[in-house]
Amino acid sequence: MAREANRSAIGNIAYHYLIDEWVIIVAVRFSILIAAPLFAQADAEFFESRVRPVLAKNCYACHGAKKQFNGLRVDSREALLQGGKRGAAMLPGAPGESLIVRAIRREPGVTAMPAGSKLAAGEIASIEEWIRRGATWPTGNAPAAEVADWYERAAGTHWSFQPVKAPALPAVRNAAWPRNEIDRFILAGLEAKGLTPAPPANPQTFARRLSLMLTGLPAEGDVDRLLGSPHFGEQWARHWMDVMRYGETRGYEWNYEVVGAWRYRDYLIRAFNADVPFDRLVREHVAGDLLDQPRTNARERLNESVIGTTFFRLGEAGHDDCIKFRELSLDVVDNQIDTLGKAFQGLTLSCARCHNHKLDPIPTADYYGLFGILNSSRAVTHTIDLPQPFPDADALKRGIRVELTRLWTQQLDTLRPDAKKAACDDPVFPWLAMRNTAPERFAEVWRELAARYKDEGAAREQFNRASFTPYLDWSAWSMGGLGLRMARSGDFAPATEGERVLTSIVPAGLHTNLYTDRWNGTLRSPLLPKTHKYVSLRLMGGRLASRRTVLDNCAIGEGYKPLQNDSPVWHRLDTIAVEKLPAFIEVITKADNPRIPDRPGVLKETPDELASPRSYFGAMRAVLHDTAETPREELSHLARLFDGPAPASLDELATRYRKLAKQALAGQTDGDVRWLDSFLRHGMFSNDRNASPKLAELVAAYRALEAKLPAPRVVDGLADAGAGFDAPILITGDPHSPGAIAPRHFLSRIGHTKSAAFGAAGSGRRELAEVLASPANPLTARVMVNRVWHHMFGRGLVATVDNFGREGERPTHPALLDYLAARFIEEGWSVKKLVRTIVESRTFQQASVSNKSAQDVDPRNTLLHHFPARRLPAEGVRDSILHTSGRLDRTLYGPSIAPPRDNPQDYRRLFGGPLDGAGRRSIYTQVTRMEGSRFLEIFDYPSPMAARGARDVTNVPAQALALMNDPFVMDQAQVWAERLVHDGAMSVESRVNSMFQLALNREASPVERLRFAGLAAELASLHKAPSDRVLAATAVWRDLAHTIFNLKEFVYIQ
Amino acid sequence: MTRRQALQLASNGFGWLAASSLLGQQSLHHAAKAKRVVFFFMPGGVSHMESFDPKPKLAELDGKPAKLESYVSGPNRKWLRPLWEFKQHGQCGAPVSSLFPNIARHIDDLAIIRSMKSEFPLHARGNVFLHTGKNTGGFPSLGSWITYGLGTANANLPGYVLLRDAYVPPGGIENFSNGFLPASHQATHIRDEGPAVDNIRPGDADARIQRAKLDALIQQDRELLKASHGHQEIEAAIVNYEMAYRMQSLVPDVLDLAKESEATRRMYGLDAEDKPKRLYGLQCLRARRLLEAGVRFIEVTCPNLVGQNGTWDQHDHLKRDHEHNAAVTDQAIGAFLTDLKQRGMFEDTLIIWAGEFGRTPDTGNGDGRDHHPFCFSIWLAGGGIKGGVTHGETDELGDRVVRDPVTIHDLHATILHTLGINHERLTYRFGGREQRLTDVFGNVVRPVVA
Repeated sequence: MAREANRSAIGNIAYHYLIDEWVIIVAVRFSILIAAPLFAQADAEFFESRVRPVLAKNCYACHGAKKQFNGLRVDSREALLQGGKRGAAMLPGAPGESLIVRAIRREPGVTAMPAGSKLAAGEIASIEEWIRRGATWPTGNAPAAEVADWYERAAGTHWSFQPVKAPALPAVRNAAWPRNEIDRFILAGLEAKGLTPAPPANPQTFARRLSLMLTGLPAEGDVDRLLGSPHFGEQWARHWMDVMRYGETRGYEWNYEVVGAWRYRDYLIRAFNADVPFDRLVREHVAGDLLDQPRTNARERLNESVIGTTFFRLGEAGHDDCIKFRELSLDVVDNQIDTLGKAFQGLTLSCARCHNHKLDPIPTADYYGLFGILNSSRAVTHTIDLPQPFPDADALKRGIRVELTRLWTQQLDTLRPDAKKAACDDPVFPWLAMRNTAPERFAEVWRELAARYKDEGAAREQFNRASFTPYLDWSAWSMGGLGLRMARSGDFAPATEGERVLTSIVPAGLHTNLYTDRWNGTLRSPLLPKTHKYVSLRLMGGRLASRRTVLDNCAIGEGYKPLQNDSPVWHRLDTIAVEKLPAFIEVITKADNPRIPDRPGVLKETPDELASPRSYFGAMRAVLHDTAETPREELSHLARLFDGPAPASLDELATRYRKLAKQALAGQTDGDVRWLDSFLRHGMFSNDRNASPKLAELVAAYRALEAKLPAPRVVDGLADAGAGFDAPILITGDPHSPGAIAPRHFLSRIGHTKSAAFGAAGSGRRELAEVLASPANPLTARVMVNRVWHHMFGRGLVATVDNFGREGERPTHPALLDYLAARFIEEGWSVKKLVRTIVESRTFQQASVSNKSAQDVDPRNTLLHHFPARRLPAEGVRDSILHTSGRLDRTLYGPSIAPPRDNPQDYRRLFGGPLDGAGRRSIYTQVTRMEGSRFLEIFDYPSPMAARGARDVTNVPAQALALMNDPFVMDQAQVWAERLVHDGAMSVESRVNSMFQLALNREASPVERLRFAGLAAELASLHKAPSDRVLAATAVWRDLAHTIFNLKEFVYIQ
Repeated sequence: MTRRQALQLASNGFGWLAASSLLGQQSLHHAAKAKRVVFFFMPGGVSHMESFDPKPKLAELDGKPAKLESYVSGPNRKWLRPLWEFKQHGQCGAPVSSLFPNIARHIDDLAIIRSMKSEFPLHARGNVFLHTGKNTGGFPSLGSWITYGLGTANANLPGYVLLRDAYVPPGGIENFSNGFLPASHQATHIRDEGPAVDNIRPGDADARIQRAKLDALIQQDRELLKASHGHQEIEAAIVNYEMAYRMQSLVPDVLDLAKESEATRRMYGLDAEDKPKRLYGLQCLRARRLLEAGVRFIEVTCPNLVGQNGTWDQHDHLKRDHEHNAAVTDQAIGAFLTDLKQRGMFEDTLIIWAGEFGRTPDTGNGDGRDHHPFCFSIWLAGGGIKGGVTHGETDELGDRVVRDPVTIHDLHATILHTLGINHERLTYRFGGREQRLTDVFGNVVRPVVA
């Protein structure tokens, strides 16, 4: 076939080896198709895939661990052999005589099973086949004996599970060629096959290659400059984001935003720029919230380490009910395990979710040991700010307090019961009640009222004592945020906007707004006890501060409730005692609520209100109970009113109120606060900031300072709270089939990652981080070094960069990989040093063309006899266009820019952004699930669903169409053209030359100058531009610019 | 086959069949009855009691308190009678509700499956499960698997086309994703309004300008190719430009309905007053033209008329909106079936009509039905399918399957089977294992297979 290629369209080029390679590819792929699977339908696998799931789904509910109808269990081989009341349920080898088969076939004389619908024909056939084969039943919880055998063997022999040992440098014949150690290994490999390396790339090509590799932009300078460039961090952060399945929205149905995802992206950029040691980054990713000495950033005033944990939260997540749909939270953790395993260990851990790993020595117990660690960790928001100073706030607050006290004292003389309505626990209630009492009956009525208060107060106290159990001191709760602190009774929360001076006078408790409602706060309970049905909290707050129960870490579950009271009220929450799932309560300000902004129709707040940084709450008490009612408002703070003789008139009562109000002003108890709060709410005390010039001045001064406070910065992450808890192994991954408990630990079999059970003090993440970041871990350094190599050469030394297991590819240069891994550790896990070592090698500096003989021996260039040319990644294509057109905005960091969309779908939070992405680099284009960036995805931008250490590099017509016709490309050609026509060029050819220099980092050859000048002339005629005005004809230069964007040379790294 | 043809095939989804035909084979694993597929996606949850699975018992119980073991609960749930009449159709006499008169006309060619089961009463998971056989995103959709298996039959057109509107369904565009399969198996989106295909309209007003630029480009690129000693990827990229250049005229040509007779246009409802109906007819007629031109797999989404979670998601306004949805889709699908028969394409085209789940036999508000994954109805027709068959049975309430349950995996296995593909052998290595559309499940539903 196929040697008579159609030469007319492409030209006369030598491509014979190409078609040979094509056939090879076809053959290889076909062989995968026809080859028998590695483990050909082994009985155990047949059982796990075909039989156990059918039994688990259809039979276990009535014939399993919980229930045994007719005394029968079908969840083990022994149980089936033993059978129930009707005798043995199974006769291995004889399906036709096995009761279970007759039951599922619904034969006469046997109770038809399952009770509902008949099993599918294929399911019945599978069970028959399994019994015919002898009914093998591998034990599910621990590897069966024969499995353990090969597990041990595999753990002891597979290359990547063995310790990293720095190898001796190989001898080479051409001792003059190597510049550094890498070259020794590569050259030795080539020489063994009788090959020689390619000559060095020409300096211009090499400089372009180097810059595109290190920064993603062309021509940024020499190695030192490139390593020091802020764009280095952007390039390498993006590489790592592929592995982290980085997404900024959660997909599913409503595409809620991942809180602060972009701050994690910025964290990575800073980290790669600062060359933070990789083992440090690993620790921060896994347990950045638990480190003794977190890495702080003095300039940004933030805690860097804690941001690492955001990686756990970047996956897909839904809002649906976690009790009805247990899989939802399990899938989130599974995705975390999958990402963690691939990213740091190059292992496909999540294969062990439903059964022991078929290919690597990873039993389900290891999966659920890790599951327990992550399940014991909480999905929360972290505030990353260091404590924020608010200078002079205390002094100004004191001033305001003094002035208000002065004003209120003045107002005592004219104090009157001025309230439209009041509850009986409101101090003004008795006053209002007595207002229309006839003078002659005044004392008598008062005494009656006092008696009723006394009785009612006693009854309420009695009810509360009998019905409610205090629930923990606040010190047992987790507190976060900038604003949350303990207040004494009578402190106040200043109003930061509007005419009011105060938002509230607060009772003793935890409050977020004692200084400003700009500061956030989070208050989270320990795991809720299952001893009571309810927990009730005494809370106040507003502006979308909320309280809710978080069940089984379903962070965006339904059912939060905004707080809407500036005085304390009781809120009852469900402890979900009927379910065994872990649950906790959180009270959070708006910024910390991952459901805000919520989907359309849930919240009534205006966009302005949603965008406002302000939100606040206070928390006073927590109680446990089983009664549906919450605690009754007690009346003890009114006892003082009824002390002493009954007043004889309304005037006497008023005098008493004035006295008590004055007493409350001087007091410091919650009772006093009730009095002051009442007067304030009813307007009996002034709360107007213009009540006196002095007050106006103080409030203005306070607010001027307050306005300068930056909003708190929060990110989604994981946190620990108290002791961790072990999870059961879920048989076949089914949440309704819990098996033995798996103690929290990491891999039990593999090399130096072997770990004992982790301690009870926390979730175990802290210990896990140490195992992963240990120099003795055989995988961590190898996997990372290989990732860097992959990005530099387009292919890892291990081609399957995310799979170092037994089914992954073997390293092409195992000794080199170990050399680099050992050196990586020795040089302090420095990515920059590793990159420098690679780029300084002659291997990396080779030209991208090779000779025929090398191609024949090693057509896939696995030995690196030349530098492998390849297309720029999606970001490289887009960023190069922006760079060349002059539109590139080099600003680092910040919120992402929505990708341009023809049809934005706001209800899914798929907003439309500017066509040119505001000129920002592609790393700042928002990564949205449900629908991504159209332009980037054409060029193999990865889906954010799973770790993807190596992108596809495809060649599809959509790429040509995008560069030919996409509005972004056309628009940037126009931008470039508008600059070109003002560049003062004297001739078409000189301008063409400068375009080549800018876009391709080289001079245009004389032939090319002529070619493009000819094209310019032709285009000028087509555009009807006068031939003497070609240099000023923007349309002509737009077309030339567009042509250059389409050059293969423009989008290929050579 | 020339090398150039090979490169072209690679670009637009060079699949297993193409590979094996190079080696002289005609089909992938066994004889294929169907060569191409169209999937009419009915999202949101069509009521099975009111489409293909009559439940007279519900008429008796109408308004009485309902007790169902389900995900939806509430104190005041009541049985709800079917709101549309059923009539028997064709020689097979299968009942179809009055919602679908045009589809009913083809009843003797349909295989109705009344015993479909899904796993989740949740749109996002249900949609993704129906499309990918998995319940979370990131896996390849049916169309990607099939083009991966069979490739495209026309190297100048994509193998997998999605005919859609602007709406993004629950689960996202991930529903139609190529997942971990190479991007050459990704869906080409064709929209019902605005520019149909991204970047297909030349960016240059004057075709001569584009040609002039491309000519210079080809000269430059050839020099680069020569300098790179014939770098394979660069050459493939050059070939792509020629193909892309031709696609600019070819794709609009295929989509150009001016070439269709007035009668055909009317048959599809392109003259309808109702805009969604017009647009759906347009997409169905385009589907036929694309299949004719050699596209392997086409999915047609449903116009999203109400609510935000799927066309057929009638928790309320069941009467009004099911009726409208049926009016929008029935005529065009009926026309599509007729058209395929007239053109002799029916016998080797597999047609799938399915959504992610059904609806509850009871109601919480008297005005609608809720999500019901325990049983629902779909139908298959055309290549490899036995017509006039009704498969599976549900109980008298339409609540649970009582005979021959069919899972989504079974459906996928059956679809692949008609195309000559053994679902256990169509695999792709990712994440450390051989991945399959049917995971470790799936049985071909033999009774519906011809």
